[in-house]
Amino acid sequence: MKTEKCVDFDNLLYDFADGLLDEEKTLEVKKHCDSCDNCRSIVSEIKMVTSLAGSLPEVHVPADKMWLGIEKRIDSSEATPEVAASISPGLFTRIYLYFKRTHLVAVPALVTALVLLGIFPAWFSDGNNPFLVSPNPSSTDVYSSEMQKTEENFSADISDASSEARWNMVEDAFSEVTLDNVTSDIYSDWEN
Amino acid sequence: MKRSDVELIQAVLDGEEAAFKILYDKYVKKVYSLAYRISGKYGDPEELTQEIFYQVYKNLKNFHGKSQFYTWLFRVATNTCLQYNRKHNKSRGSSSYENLEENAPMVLPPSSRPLPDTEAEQRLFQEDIARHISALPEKQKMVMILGPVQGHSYQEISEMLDVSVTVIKGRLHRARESLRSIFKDRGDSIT
Repeated sequence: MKTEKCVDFDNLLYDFADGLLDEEKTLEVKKHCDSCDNCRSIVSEIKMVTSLAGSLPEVHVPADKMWLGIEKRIDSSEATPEVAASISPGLFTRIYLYFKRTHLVAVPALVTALVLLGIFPAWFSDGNNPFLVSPNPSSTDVYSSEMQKTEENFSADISDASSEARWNMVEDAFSEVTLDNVTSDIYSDWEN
Repeated sequence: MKRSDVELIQAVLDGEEAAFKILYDKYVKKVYSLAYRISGKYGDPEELTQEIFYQVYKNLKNFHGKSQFYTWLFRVATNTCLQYNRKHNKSRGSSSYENLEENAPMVLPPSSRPLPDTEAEQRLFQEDIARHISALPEKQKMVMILGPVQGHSYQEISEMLDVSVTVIKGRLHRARESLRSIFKDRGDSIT
C-alpha cells in the first residue's frame, strides 16, 4: 500500500530503475524499497516494461526494393545535396532555434514587449505621431527651421573660410554656449 | 578501406551517389524499425523509409558535423515520421490514436502469474507491449521507441528530437507509467 513516505520517492523510482541516481540516492531508494512492497513493485514493473520494450523482435527489412525506390526518386527529381544548401537556416532562424533549444524564447519576447511598451508611448506623447498632420506649424517647427537656416549659413561660411578662420569660427560658436544660454533656451522653448 | 560517415557524406556531396548507398545500408535497419513502429497499423513503413532517406539526401549539405551523423539522421527521420503521421491521419480523418480502440482493449490473456516465465508468455507480453506502445500519444511513443526499444541514451534522444533531457525523461516517465497498466490489468503486481 502506498504510504506518505512513498510520495517522496515517486519521482526517484524511474531514475532508480534506470540506474541514473548517484550512490547516496540509490541507497536511500533501495532502503525504502526493501521495506515497501508498493514501491518495490513499481520498480519491478518499470524494469520489466523497459526490458520487454528492449527485447521486441527485430523488424524484418525488405531487401533491395526500398533502395530502388529511393534511387528512383533521387534520379527523377532535381533535388541534389547542393540545392539543399539554399535552405540552410538564416541568422534569425538560428537565433530563434538557439532560444528555443535553451527554452528562453520568452526572454526576447519579453524584451521586445518592454521596448515597444516603453518607446511607442514616449514617442507618441512627444507629438511625433506620424499618422497625424498638424494644420499649422508649431513653435517647435519654427524653432527647428530657424536652427536649420543658421546651421546652413554656418556650413556655407565655414566651407569658404581658410583653416585658421575656420578654427576661429568654431571657437566663437562655442564661446556663445554657456550654461545660462542653454537653460534659457530650454525654458524659452517650454514657454512657447 | 572502410570510410567514416563524414568521408562518405563528402563523397556524396562530391557527386558519388554510391556513397549514399553505403550510408543507407549502414542505417536502414534502425530507420526502418523506427518507421515501422511509428507509422502504425495503417502506415506504410517502406514508403516512409524511402521518404526519410530521400529527405536525408536532399538535406545532406545542411549537416555541418556539429553532432554525429547518426543523431542528425534520426532527427530528419523523426521529423519525417511525425509529418507523415499528421498527413496520413488527416487524410483518414481520425486521430493517430485510433489504433487504441482496436488494439488496447484486447485484454491480456488470463494468467495466474504476471512474470513472463515461459517463452510463450514472454511472446505474449512482447505483443502486448508493442500494441500498447503503438497506442501511446505520438511524442511519448517516439521517446519510448528511440529509448527503451532502440537503446538510445537520453542525450542522444534529446539531440534527435531537439528538446531538453528533462522533457525526454518526463515523456518516458509518462509512457512507462501507461505501459505499466499491462501488469495492473492482470490484477496482480510484480514483487
